[in-house]
Amino acid sequence: MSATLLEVRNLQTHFVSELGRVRAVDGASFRLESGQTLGIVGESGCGKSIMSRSILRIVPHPGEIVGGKILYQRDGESIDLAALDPKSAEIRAIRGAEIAMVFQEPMTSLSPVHTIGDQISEAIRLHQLFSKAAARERTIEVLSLVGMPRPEGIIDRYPHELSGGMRQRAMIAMALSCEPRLLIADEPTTALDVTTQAQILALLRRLQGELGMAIMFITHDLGVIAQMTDHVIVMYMGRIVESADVDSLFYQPQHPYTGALLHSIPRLGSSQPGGKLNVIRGSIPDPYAVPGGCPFHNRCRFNDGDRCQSETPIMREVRPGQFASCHYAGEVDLEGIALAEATP
Amino acid sequence: MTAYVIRRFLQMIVIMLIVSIVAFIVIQLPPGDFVDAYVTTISGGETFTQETIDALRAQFGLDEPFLIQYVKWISNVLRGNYGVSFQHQRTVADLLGERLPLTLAITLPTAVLVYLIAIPIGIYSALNQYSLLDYLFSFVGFIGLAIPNFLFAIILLYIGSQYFDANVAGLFSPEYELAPWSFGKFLDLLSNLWIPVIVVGTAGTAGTIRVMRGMMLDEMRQPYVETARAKGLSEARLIFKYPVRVAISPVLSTIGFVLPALISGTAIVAIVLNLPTTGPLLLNALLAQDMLLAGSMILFLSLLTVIGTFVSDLLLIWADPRIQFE
Ligand SMILES: Nc1ncnc2c1ncn2[C@@H]1O[C@H](COP(=O)(O)OP(=O)(O)O)[C@@H](O)[C@H]1O
Ligand SMILES: [Mg+2]
Repeated sequence: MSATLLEVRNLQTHFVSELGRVRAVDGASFRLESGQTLGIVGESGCGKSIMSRSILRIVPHPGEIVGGKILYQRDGESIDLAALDPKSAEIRAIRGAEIAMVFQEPMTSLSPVHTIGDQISEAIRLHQLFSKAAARERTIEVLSLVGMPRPEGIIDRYPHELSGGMRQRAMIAMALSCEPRLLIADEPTTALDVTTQAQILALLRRLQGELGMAIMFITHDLGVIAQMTDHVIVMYMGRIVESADVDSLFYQPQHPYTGALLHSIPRLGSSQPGGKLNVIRGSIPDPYAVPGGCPFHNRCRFNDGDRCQSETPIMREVRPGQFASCHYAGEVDLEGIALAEATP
Repeated sequence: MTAYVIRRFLQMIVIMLIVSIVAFIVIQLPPGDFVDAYVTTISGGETFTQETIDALRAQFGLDEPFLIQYVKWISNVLRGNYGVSFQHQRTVADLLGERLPLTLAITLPTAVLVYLIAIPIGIYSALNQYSLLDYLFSFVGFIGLAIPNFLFAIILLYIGSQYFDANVAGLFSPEYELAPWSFGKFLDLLSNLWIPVIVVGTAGTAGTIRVMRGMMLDEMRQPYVETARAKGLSEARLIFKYPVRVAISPVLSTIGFVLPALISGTAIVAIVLNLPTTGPLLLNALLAQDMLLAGSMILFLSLLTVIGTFVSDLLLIWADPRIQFE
């Protein structure tokens, strides 16, 4: 396989307040190859956004990385992003230039009082030696790259003058303007309507083919994962519970949580009219009072009432290239679904 | 834009016309007129025959119907002739010419100081929420908001005269009070200006700090700040370019009405501190039903307010592209 771009080792990002400690990311480890599209999936609140912000070192206060390493590979050397000062020039030179991010809310993620062009060319001039005029040209270039109609006109527009889909295109253009090696897309289509969502996903697929950067694609929607990614990690309560290539994950899930997630996707034909969706039973435990043992035990139908509640399972290779953290992975019988069923 | 400015301008003329009528009516609302007020209070117990009273009425034009009085007055005002104050027996232009510059000498520096002090403190407090200085500014700010201006003026008067031997009442030291303008008198004015500026400006500063701090706290939580951070901007640069820019526009837009508010709001302070400003003049004119003086001053304040609002709106349009001309 190709070279490793990013390796996260036992990352722990916690929020400590008078209310207690929230382990938003609680010992996550994974590896991202350059040019790869890695999907990160999990119910909302499982720590996907905080993990991605940990990589860029923009975790909001009072969140803090309390342990682990984020090894970013560049020119044969390895930089531990977790060890950098979040205000340092070193991490700021990586943000936006080498690792860029697209956010969930295209409306509020752009400044309402600055033009699209102002916000994009700012990134260009921050990281590259561009004159004002050259930056403007480059901005028009990236705007047309993301399929923006009439980029010469749009560049002087304000976000409120554009539709949601166009704003998200502008966000993507901004993220791509410095040709990053890694693009983190945090639920980039969640706030959009279905048609626009499909257009943006198609755009990201095309851009990945053309530019070849690695993409970390975060979503709570397995349908989007099926369309977009090569490799998937499944998160639950700040931990990675399963890691596999997308086909294995869908056909032969190894963690009961993955299995439950797969069967909660609304699918055509599978449910009889009036039949209810297979939502995962129970609910996520209070983040301030996490029970011991396997974090999923209170919702798991394979809970043995003993080991599952007392011993935290460790990640192990269940099948070649497929890892899961469940005491009974490989023993319990989990039913997969066809990949095609997940993609509408 | 041009069309908007022209339309607003026409609106302003109409508003001023309405204001002038309302002002004229309101001034006349209390029972009696200037002659009654004069006869009962100002003249000091002298008795008047009915003929004298009628003659006085005729002299001031008070025997004419309301509409005629108004038309006469407004057409004079439009020609720049503000008439004579009944009370002072001097032209209104003269009286205002004497007091307006001093009023502006207090209010303009106050307005500038309010923003210069309040905006940076508001930003600092928001960025360092719950820090020691934030608590300190909040505490001082609440006191500044809570203490009535006249009480604050009295306290400063007391402290100033008791501990600093300062001349705290009036804008000038006795030796310059009646002297013609000179550099010495100017310096004397500056040395006496600080008390009214502090008294008049404190509440405004405290209020503006709260508004700026609240706006900044809201804006710092907005996702576009995270976007700017993810771009690689330094914290100082992104804060001033994004959240400050968004938070400051509603604050800046109050500049327009600060001026009239300060000018009319200083009356009580001016009375306590014995300042020769327009506030006490207006109050006395209203009490004495000195129509021409009161009318002109109200017109002037309204004009300031109307122009101020217009300036505010222009500032807001400039600061926030989401606001459309309508
Ligand atoms: N400012 C904060 N203070 C305390 N806890 C937080 C804060 N922000 C996020 N969290 C916690 O971090 C966890 C993960 O959040 P997040 O990464 O946003 O989830 P996701 O993106 O997967 O929906 C959540 O359970 C939440 O409780
Ligand atoms: Mg999220």
